[in-house]
Amino acid sequence: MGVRYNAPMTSSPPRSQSNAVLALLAFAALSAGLLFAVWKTEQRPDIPGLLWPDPPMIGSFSLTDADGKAYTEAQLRGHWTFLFFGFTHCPDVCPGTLAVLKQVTGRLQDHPAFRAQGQVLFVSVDPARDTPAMLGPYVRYFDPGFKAATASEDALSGLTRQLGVIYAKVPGSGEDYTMDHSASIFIVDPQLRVLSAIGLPHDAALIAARFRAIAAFVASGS
Amino acid sequence: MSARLLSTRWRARAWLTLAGGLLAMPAGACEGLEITGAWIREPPPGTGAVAAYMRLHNAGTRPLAIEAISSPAFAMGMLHETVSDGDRVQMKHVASLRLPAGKTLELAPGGLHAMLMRPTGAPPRAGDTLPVELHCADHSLLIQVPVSRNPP
Repeated sequence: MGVRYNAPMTSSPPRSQSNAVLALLAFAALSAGLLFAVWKTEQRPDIPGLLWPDPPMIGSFSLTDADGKAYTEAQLRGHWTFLFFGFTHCPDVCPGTLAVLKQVTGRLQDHPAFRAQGQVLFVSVDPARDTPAMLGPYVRYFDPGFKAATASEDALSGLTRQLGVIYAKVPGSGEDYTMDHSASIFIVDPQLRVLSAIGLPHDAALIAARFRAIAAFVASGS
Repeated sequence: MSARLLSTRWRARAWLTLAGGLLAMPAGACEGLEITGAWIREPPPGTGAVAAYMRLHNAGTRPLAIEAISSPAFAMGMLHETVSDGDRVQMKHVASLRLPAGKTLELAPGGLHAMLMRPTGAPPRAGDTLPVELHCADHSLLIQVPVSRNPP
């Protein structure tokens, strides 16, 4: 018993040493991984709904705005944007959310970064009925400064796919149809990072508070 | 200031009309149904469909079912419910609103509402008052509902 036990020990010291080295390496790697995970977690501030770390980035897209001009990611760069997708034949959620966004921008008039760089963009996911020209009076009803844009199905999906925004026509009676759609308000920072997606119900005080927290976090050097 | 006075006056008028409607109501017509806080969201330019909101209360002793809500000012009316899972929203058609005795049902933004489509005249503007009809079984109740930009 004793011999059988001792025999391998004496016969293979090199293998035992390499095992120890391997174990040490594994331990070091695990520790490093744990430390990194802790560091990453500490990088994430306690802001509800903040998409961090690794927020989605908005890449290139091309829509047409209410004045018939191209509206691309260039119009988002350098701005803080509240981005909302909807359609004008939507009597409940869309006007409700745009009215809330009007209250949000009102609450943020004392925020220097928002006052200088803030904007609201409404994107119609119903280009069959919402022409760019129709969208202007629609959003300006809520606030003269609100922007609106849309595009053909293909061009539209260039933006919606990046954000995971979904929409689908739902047939009604006759020519009427309604649409299922994403109703989140996206907060996009001046570097085109999507830092939050705020779902229903939309509350102006909560959205303004979240914006302040996120803008402060970004200003702190993130 | 004057806008507030006006809206108060409209509201008062709606209340008077509603009170008149309740008094004039024949026995059995939506018996026990009380409606408060009714309003219609002003449609933004270029749109004609509106959502009507109100609080329904069954003060009677028998259950009520509201089968439809319509308006002579619109070609079409439907009971809808906005259903959301946080991000995705859907409009669901609701066949009828069941209101057991003593219960209250809220038609409010982001939830149940009456959708009125295809205005027969010019789209309504804030400050207007529109007739709205609630249909329960064989009877209906006509109320006057103020149009406003924001919830009252």
